Amino acid sequence: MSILILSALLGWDTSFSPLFFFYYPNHVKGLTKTYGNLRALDSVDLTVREGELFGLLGPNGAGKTTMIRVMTGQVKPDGGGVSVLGIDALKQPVHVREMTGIVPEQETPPSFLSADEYLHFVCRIRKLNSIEKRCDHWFRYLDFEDQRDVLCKDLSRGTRQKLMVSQAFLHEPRLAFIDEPLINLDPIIQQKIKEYFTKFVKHGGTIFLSTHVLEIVEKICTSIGIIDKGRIIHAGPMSALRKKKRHLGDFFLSLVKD
Amino acid sequence: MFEILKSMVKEEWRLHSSIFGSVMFGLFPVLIAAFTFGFSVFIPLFEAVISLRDMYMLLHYCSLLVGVSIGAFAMFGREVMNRRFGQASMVAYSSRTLPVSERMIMLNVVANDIIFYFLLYIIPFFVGFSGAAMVTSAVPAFSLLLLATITMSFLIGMSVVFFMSTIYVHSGRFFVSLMVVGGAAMVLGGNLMFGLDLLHALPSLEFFYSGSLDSLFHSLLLIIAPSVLSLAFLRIEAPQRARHVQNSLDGLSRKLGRLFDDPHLVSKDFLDLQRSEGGIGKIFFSFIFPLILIWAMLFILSGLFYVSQAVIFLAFSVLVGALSSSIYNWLTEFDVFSSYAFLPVRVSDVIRGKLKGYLILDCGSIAIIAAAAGLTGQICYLPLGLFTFAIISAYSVSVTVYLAGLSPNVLIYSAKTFLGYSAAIVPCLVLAIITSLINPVLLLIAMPPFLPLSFLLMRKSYPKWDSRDQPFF
Repeated sequence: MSILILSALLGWDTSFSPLFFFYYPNHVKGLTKTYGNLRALDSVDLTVREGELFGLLGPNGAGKTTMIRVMTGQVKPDGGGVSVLGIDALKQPVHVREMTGIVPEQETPPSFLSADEYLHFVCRIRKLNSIEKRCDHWFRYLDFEDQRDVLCKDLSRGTRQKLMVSQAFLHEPRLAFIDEPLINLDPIIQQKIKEYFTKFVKHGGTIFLSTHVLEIVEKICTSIGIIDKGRIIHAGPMSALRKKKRHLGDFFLSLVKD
Repeated sequence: MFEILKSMVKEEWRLHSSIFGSVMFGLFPVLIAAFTFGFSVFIPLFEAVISLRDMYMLLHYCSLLVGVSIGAFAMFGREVMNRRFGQASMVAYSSRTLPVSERMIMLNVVANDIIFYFLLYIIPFFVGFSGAAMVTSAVPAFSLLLLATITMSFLIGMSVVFFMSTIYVHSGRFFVSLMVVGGAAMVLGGNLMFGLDLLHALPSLEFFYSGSLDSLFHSLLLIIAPSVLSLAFLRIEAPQRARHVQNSLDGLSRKLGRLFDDPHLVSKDFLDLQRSEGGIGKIFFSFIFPLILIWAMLFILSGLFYVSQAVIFLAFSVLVGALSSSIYNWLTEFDVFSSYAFLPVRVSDVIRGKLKGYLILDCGSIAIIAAAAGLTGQICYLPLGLFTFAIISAYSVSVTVYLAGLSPNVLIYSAKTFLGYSAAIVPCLVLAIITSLINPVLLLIAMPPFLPLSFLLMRKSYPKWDSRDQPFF
């Protein structure tokens, strides 16, 4: 703690330093966002610790996607604060996106680049080296090498989703925000991705997963948050539920129905 | 058929009004009418130098030009809609989910564009012009015939460019050959028929003057025949056909890397432009083709006002500068910021990338201006023409970026943006043209102040667009 106070006093940017790696939780405080009359986020407070596989659950339109967009600086909130890996996402949104990987809700790679060109494009934006090696790894890992020279607009939705997952992990981020990760994917790839997420977290990474598929959360997440009508109505470790032998589906429905 | 059309018209309205509000969108045609009115009330002043007959001719050619420009965008705009809004959400893509043929959908797309732009441009033109006519009593009052004939001119422009784009999509080479042969025939034919009043031979204009059934028939033929042929030869791409391409991004980025520090963004834009429907030819239809028409109109004006070839050349350079910003518009059409939003880039980085692409593509304008200097025998004015063009091009694109950021083709239909754009651009163009009329050398004094203004606008644009949430479609 004293190190943190000292670094704050000296104005050090500690977000890159492995020394401070575990000190920074990702948290939002009093986060509010409205779209017209719709209050998408309503004074949300939430903390996700490093090394967690956090699952954000909620019905359609609950505010899950807005939460990720605000946390990654894609959208500005009307009120509140966001800190991601110790970086103020409102002041340094590009820095947050530099340090994290994001799989957006809709798979939107540029239409007229091929899958291969797109991954190269992302590598160049992220100023990465060994571009070919990184891309080859993901084409092989998610089994879509035969599609690498196909224009993105002609790829199937599932393949586009593989591409979006690949681009999020190309730079081996410390934290990944993932919005509906398994959508349109076949069961074999779904399994592979779930295994990858688990391994990623075991190796010190953090995942912030937004989904309404309860089964994924129940299987792989270490902690959960439930959001409804823009408010966090529950946050805590999965182990607490498991201890009580409560089924996540029933627990979720009991909270959301209320 | 009618249900699809009705849905498309509704969709078009909601699309625009949802972006910048019904009022701002609804005010757009009001502004067009007001501008036309404002210009037309001065007709009595112009009458000393330009006859009413020629004024009508210009009005018809303006409508033709609007038809051509809009036709070019509409015909190639399908992929734009696809990129921006996703295939499932647009009625234009119903043929993939409902039992409706692509041809029927295309017929509706054309009909929708006609209705939409008729309400947006033609009716306001007519209202403004007729209103001024009634106020000044200097021109014949409200005439339904005028409305009918300017509409026909607009439809001829749309239909012809639709036909040409269909040929181009089928075979770029055949299209280029046709343009070369057609151009040569026009030059030869023009020389042979020198002295004939070819400009008044536009059938819709002739019908306005004479009311002859022949000219009505020719007008309708020019509207219907190219559209029917275009629909008959419409290329329907099987959606399941996957296009394979070699990785060109790396090679292009390496080449552009010698010029820019973010070559990948520029390369991506070039690949988008090249690989999307119509390829690089889109620029021909929306930029070069209208320029050819403007060139022709300037020659009409030179005959009417007895101005020198030097002035015509300089006025052309001014207009090339203003129109060249349409190249930037095309570069913004194939992606939305949501494709970049999850990457470590700002809106201003993407805008900068597109401006660099614009800078390269706009070099083509230099060749056009040089060709115009050669054709008019004004090579000695070429440096001045290029100087004026460069400043106006920089100014108009910086105004576009400041007012509309990455969405110029959408935001221009907001009355507020359109008013701002007109207020910024029109005085600059008027100043340039009047200066070249008084003494072309004065352009060296009149134009440079727009350069720092352009830089200032650019500097203000980047934080402006970075601080705003971009739409997620």
